[in-house]
Formats: sequence, C-alpha cells, structure tokens
Amino acid sequence: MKKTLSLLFAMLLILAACQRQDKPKSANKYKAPKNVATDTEGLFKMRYRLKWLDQAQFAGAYVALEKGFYLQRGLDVEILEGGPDYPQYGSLLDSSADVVGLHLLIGMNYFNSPRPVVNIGQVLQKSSTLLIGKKSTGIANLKDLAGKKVGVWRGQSYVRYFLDEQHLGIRSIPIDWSVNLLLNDAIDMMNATSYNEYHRIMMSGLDEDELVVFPLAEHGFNVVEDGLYVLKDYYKKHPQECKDFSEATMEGWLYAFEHPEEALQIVISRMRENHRPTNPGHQLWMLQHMEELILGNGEPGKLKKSDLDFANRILMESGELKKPIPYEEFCPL
Amino acid sequence: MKTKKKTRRLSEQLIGQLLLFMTFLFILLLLVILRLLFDVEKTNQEEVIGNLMESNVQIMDRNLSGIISLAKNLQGVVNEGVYNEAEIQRHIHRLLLDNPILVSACLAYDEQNPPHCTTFSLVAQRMNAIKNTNDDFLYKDWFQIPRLTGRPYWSDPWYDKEGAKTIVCSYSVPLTRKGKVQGIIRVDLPLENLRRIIVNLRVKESGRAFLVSGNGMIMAHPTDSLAMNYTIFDLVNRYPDVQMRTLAKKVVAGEVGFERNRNLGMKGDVWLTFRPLPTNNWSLVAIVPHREVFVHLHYLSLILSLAVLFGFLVLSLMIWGRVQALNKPLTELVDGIKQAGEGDLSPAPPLETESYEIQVISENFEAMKSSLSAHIDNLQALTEERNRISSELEFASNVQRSLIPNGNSIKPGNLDVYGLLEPAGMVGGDLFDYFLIDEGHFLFAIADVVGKGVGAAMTMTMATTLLRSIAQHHKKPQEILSQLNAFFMGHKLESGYMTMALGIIDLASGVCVFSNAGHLPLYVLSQDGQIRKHERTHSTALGFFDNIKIESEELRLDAGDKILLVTDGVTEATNPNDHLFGTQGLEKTLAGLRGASVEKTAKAILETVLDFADPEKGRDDITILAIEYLGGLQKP
Repeated sequence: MKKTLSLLFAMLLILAACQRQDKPKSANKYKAPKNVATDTEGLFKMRYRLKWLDQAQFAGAYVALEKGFYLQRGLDVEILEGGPDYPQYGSLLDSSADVVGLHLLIGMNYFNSPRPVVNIGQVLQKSSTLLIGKKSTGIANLKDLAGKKVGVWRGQSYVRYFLDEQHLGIRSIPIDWSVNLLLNDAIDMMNATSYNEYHRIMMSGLDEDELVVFPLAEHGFNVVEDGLYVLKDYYKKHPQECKDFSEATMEGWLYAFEHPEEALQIVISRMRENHRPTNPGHQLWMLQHMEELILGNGEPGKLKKSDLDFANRILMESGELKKPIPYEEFCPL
Repeated sequence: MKTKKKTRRLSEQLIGQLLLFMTFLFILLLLVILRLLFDVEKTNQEEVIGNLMESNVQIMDRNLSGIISLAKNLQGVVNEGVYNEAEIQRHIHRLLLDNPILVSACLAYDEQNPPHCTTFSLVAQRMNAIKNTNDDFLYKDWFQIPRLTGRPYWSDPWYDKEGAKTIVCSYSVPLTRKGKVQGIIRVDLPLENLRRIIVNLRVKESGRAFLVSGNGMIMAHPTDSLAMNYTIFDLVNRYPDVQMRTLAKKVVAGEVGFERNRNLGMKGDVWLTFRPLPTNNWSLVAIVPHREVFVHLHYLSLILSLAVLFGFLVLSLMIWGRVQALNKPLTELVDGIKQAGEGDLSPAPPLETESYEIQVISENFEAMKSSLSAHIDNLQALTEERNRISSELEFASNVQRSLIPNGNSIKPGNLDVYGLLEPAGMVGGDLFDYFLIDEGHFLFAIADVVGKGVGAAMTMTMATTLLRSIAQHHKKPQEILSQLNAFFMGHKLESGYMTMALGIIDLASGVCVFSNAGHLPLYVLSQDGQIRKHERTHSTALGFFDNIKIESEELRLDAGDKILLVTDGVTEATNPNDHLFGTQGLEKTLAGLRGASVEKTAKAILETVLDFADPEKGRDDITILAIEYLGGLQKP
C-alpha cells in the first residue's frame, strides 16, 4: 500500500509540475514551507466550507493547508466549518464560501437548480453509509425493517433514496447526528457512517456482535459520497484555481495517509483552535477508515463516469431527475 | 580433581545458615500474614470507600431527585390544563426563585403549528422567557428521546445557549393536554452542581472520581477535557486487554464494583470502584491507587520487615559475640595444638572458658602434652641407652669377629681350612677356631654356647681365649675340653654351657684325635665321595657337670679327606612347613659337593640352609668349619 501511495504521490507532483511550468511562482513548490500563510499578497483567495464540523473526515484539507500545498499552487485557502448552522449550498449562494463539500446525490440535485454546481474533485470514492441497529430489536435483514423507526439524517439526506428504492415500509425519523436515540431505544435503526457514528456506538458500550449492520454498498447502493463543489459560474471564471484546489486537497490526503501521526496532530490542533472537543482515539479511527474510502476505488480525487451514471440512474428512478446529468458538464475538470 | 573446600569462620557459617533459614521463614510468614490481612483489609476498604462513594452518590442523587420532583410538579401544573399561560409562567418563576438547583425550564410543543418552545430562566431574579419557533429543538436528545419513547429522559450534558447559558443536564417528561402528548417539559440542572461534587471528591489520598452516563459518556471529570467528549469505552479502548471493556460494561450496566486493575494506573495497580445513582442510570466511578487503598497493610509489612530486620541484626550480633567468646579459647587451644605440633610441649596457662567441652579438651590436651613430654624424655633416654648398647655391641661384635680365624690366619701348608660364622644377631654364641699348637700339630674346634645374645657371646669369647691358653699346655683334646669344663664349672657363668668338638691333627701322619662334647657329628668326606659320620660323643656338653670323663677318638686322614663340622644353626634351620633341615639335609648337601674345595663346600652348605630356612621364623647362629688334609708334610 505504501508503495502505491508513494507512486500516486509522485505522479500527482509530476502532473502538477507539467501543467504549471508557465507559472514562475511554482518554482519551489516541492519544498513544503513550514511557516506559510504569512504573506498572502498576490495569492488567489478561496474559502472552503466543509460538509460538517471539524474532524478527521477533512484531514486532507487541513494537511494541505498546514503543509503549504495550497500555497504552492498560489492559493490562499480558508477552511470554514460546516454543520447544521452553515448549509453548504447556501454558503455558495450567499458567497460566504467558494468551494463546498457535498454528497454526490446532493450535488447532482443542485446541478439542475438555477445556479448549478459542478464537481471539481471526488474525495470519497466509496459508500461509507450503513444502517445500524441493535440485534436485540430482532432485526436480521432489511425486510425486518417494515414498520420500524429508522433514524435518517434530516434535510437533504441521500439515504432516503436507498430507503425509498427498497420499499421497506419503514417509519422514517428525522434525526441530527446524535447516536443517543439508538442507544436509548428511541429508534430501532439509524443511518451512520463507517468512519464516525459506527465507532461512537461501539464506544458507547455496544459490541460488534450486539449490532446489526447493513452497509448500503452491499445492498446495491454503492454511491460515492463527499466531493468538492463550486458554482458553475465560479468554475468558468477560475478553472485553473479550481483544479489546483482539488489537486492540493488530494495531495493533502495522500500526505495524511503516509504520515498518519502528523496528520492526526494537525486535525487535533485544528479542532482545538476551533474549541471542538478532541478525542484522538476517535479521530484516528476516522482517519484510518477514510483511507480505504478515498484510495480504494481507482484514481483518487476524480469522479468516475460510471459512478455518475450509477447516481443518474438512482435519481431518475426516484423521479428527481428527468434525464441523466452529462459527465462532462457535471465534472468539467 | 578434588579442590580444597573453602573454610569460613564459625560465626559466618552460623549467621549465614541461620539467617538464610530465618529469612525464608520470615518471607513465608509475611506472605501468609499479608495474604490473610489483604482479604480482611480489602473487605474493610471496600466498605470504607463504598461508604464514601455512597455518600457522594446520595448528594448527587438529591440534586437529581430534586429536579425530578420539580419536573413532576411542573408536569402536574401544565398537564392539568386548567392554568393559563400567564399562571404557568408565574408558577415557573416561583419554582426558579425557590429552587436554586433549577436554572431553567422549557415547555416545547410539537403538536402545535408551528412547533415552538419557550425557555424560562432568571435574569436578576426576574423571569426571562425566550420563545423559539425554530424547529431545531425537535431534533435535540432532550426532546426527541422522551417524545419517541414516552418515558422521562435524563440528557447528557449540553450547552443551553437560550436559557441557562451554561452546561446543563436536562430532565424531560411528556407534556400532555387532555390526555394527548403535546410536547415535552424540560427542567435543567446545572452540570456544575454535579461537577463540583466530582472535582472535590477525593478517595483516599489521590483517588479521583468521575460521573458516567448509562451510555458510558463521561459527564463530569476532574480533567474537564474528558467530559462530554470521551466515553468510558474510549478510555479503556487504548488498552489491548479485552477485560477492560468488560469492566467498562459492568460500570454502565449499573453494577456495584470494587476491582483491582493493572492497566489504568500510571504507577502500579489501581482499584476501580463504581456504583450507580439510584435515580437514573448514571454511575459514579473512582480510581484509587492500590498503595493508598492498602496503605495500612504497606505500613504493617514495612514495620514487620523492619522489626524482623532489627531482630536479625541483634541475633547476628549475639551469635557473632557468642561465637567470638567461644572461639577465643578455641583459637588459643588451636594455637597451642599448632605449637605442640611444632614440638613445643611446654605447659600453657589454663584456658579461661565457659564451655565445658572446651575446658575438658583443654585439660586433657595439657595432660596429654605433659604425658607426651615425659614419654619423649623417656624415649630419648632409652634411645641414648640403646645407642650406647648398640655401639658396645658393635664393639663386641668387632672383638668377636677378630677372634675368629680369618683368611690371614696361620695355616699349615698341607691343610686347606675354611670356616664361616653367620651370627643371628650382632654377636653370636657360636665359635670356631684353629691354630697350630706346635709345628706338627693343628688344633681345630667348633662350639655352640647354649643361649644367645651377649651372654653367649661373652662365653664364646672366653672359650676362644681360654682355648688358645689351655692348648699351650695340654696337647690332647680330652684334656683341653676337661680344662674348659673345669673353668666353666668353676665360674658358674650364666651362659656357661656349650657343646664343642675339638680335634688335633698330626700334620705328618694325618692322624686326627678328636673329642666331641655333646656336639653334632663330625663328618669326614673322602676324595672318593664317601662320607663318614662320627656321631659318637665323648662327653656331655661342657659346663653342666663337674669332673666329667672325656674320651677321645682317633681317625686317620688320607690326602684329600675333608673334615666338616657344623653347629645346630645348620641342622635346626626350619622351613615354612616346620621341617628341620637336619643331618639328613646336611648329608644330602654334602653328597652333592664331591671334590669341592673347603670354601666352596662351606659356602654351598650356608646357601642351601639359608634357601631352606623360613626367614620369618628367625634362625640360630650358623657356623661351618671345613678342613681338607692335603697329605703328609714333606721333610725339607
């Protein structure tokens, strides 16, 4: 794995070097400067609104910032927390952010809006989503969910596409991120990610053999998840910067996987700066699980046409899409 | 190869062996005592720490049950449905004023459109009500869980930015109107109330406590960063020991426990004690270092060890002192023995000792030394005496030897004579002699004095001397023997008895006249090998009877005839089978010596006898005299 990572890293650097030969600024871009962001004059300012609150789910971006991968490409990047108080698409519309993190299906929904978004990078190349519940509820397979209370993230949750598609007859309970509903038996199952809630549930005293888990990918719903999105207009104005941003972010991820301890420290520091409670054990779990999701499906950072086609089919079947979204338009890079 | 064993002082050996055994015994005893006391102390400490935990659980539980009472109170007022909103608000105001543990309360409705909630708190004793129509509250644990389950719910700590503006733990109960659930009533307890108890709680010296929710969430901890961030499972997850997770599960299951743990302590083992709060499913947990729990046991073992160490020290000193006291006379005794070994047997001053054994050894050693000294003196005297006698005997031997004819003795030309005397000791009682009594006559004699040693030797010496003297005057053998007998009878010597054969040869004619006084036979060996034995004695042995009549016998010697005489040392030689050599042995030997010279004949007989005799049995003096007559003398 290490060998593959090194190879990919080298390839990315060579690619970047070839494409940016005309820019004198990039002369020493291979030397990662330690003290960066002191002189931002003349750099291109970009604000990146995360999909959620600070955590290792976004380690690549923190590492790219800390190690100067953005700066090397002439970008002055500011990373902004996401979460319920800061809707990602809303941030693009009100110009409080230039780049946002979105799930593919959510991003596709916004593609057909009056102010469409485009994908400039695909971070998660696999589905991390699970349905998880206690074995004590008697649920053994998906069919047992009929009439059961299933906690589904409120808002534009992509999980509802899966649940609708399966025609399970569940009672959907909109929830926030808390796992306490499941732990206190207020609901029978909840959606979760393998890198976050699953671990939190285990760390609340439930053992693996006490849990029933349905990974969506194993039930015909392997939709790739987090991607980097900008407004189409923005992309048209700044295509190179968008490309640079995406590449630098992925370079950050590759560095993080090669240097997990350093990456973990960067994540923890970032969380502390933003006064988020830090739990290194949980963040390490998250970082370790991101690796498979990011590197486990071909070329990192790039949305594959087949993955978009699969998502097109789901959205068309759900009736939310009349015709498939063309790959070249959705993914212009 | 066997190496010499290293020697050690007696005190070292005693102290070493004794201490080794005592140490082993002590350790065994200490382990048994500590094991027994450990169980007693564990039960005791479990109770003591349990009581401390219980009292703190009760204090916290008073807060919780107080909040529950207030929630029920409010629920009663609100759910009754007879009070209007203003009256309910006044009631809440009164509750907030009267109950400091209540920092805020909230009435949340989701069955009304739009869903809304109102949070009540005090600002400078005045009622502050904030109505919120944002539906975010619908997804908070405090609302959603009791709403979905229909059961009261204690929330994890959360930051209430609208009401109390502090971290609170909320207790929520359903809000009903006309029997139908309309929403949730929430009352808030500031976490600080519980945190203060936790932070101030010291179990033993440095044991710290923390509060854990039913889901393992750490609600309050002396290290604030752990609270609301880590679960107890996060904490134990860092240890590979799966037992740790089992332990954590016991805690969240609301069990009461007091368990030893090797992982959680920074320095050594710790004891984990936990017990649930009666009101909800939270648990109070404390971690106490093992050394603090069993501090009394540690002190006890320390004191015990020191006491035993001191005891060992004193015992060692006592043994050392005692052994030294015992050893001093022993060392002096050993020195005395060494000196005695080197020859110094002078008496030593009496030993001062309290040991009976050493006293006895010392006294006996002194007695032995004195006895040895006397013995040595005696021995020295004896040795000197012996040496003196020995040198005198040597002298006597020399005298005796000089009296016997040797090779230089005057012999007539027509005789070949050879005699040998092999004494059994330094001096002997045998004698032989020969000499010319005049120009024509040759005297020979052989004698055996009865007895041995010096007496016999003296007699022999006298006889030799006397023989020469008498022979000057008496030319006949019987006369000479009579004179000798008369002398011995006259002097009554102790060893004055002897057998003797004496002859006088007329050198011209070869006629030999001889008398045998009790001696062995005389043999004449002819040249033709004939052996003539003249065994007739002519008297008894000399010295027994006075005036004995002694006869004589005459025989003629031809040229080449040999006369042979021996003493009883030859015939009485005994072999290992107790057989005597006898005259038969002698004659048999002689038969084989035909034609041999006198010297050869004598030596051959001696050799044969010595070969025959058993050297172990001792022997008598051996004397052999052989005379060969070579023929009549030619007149010049």
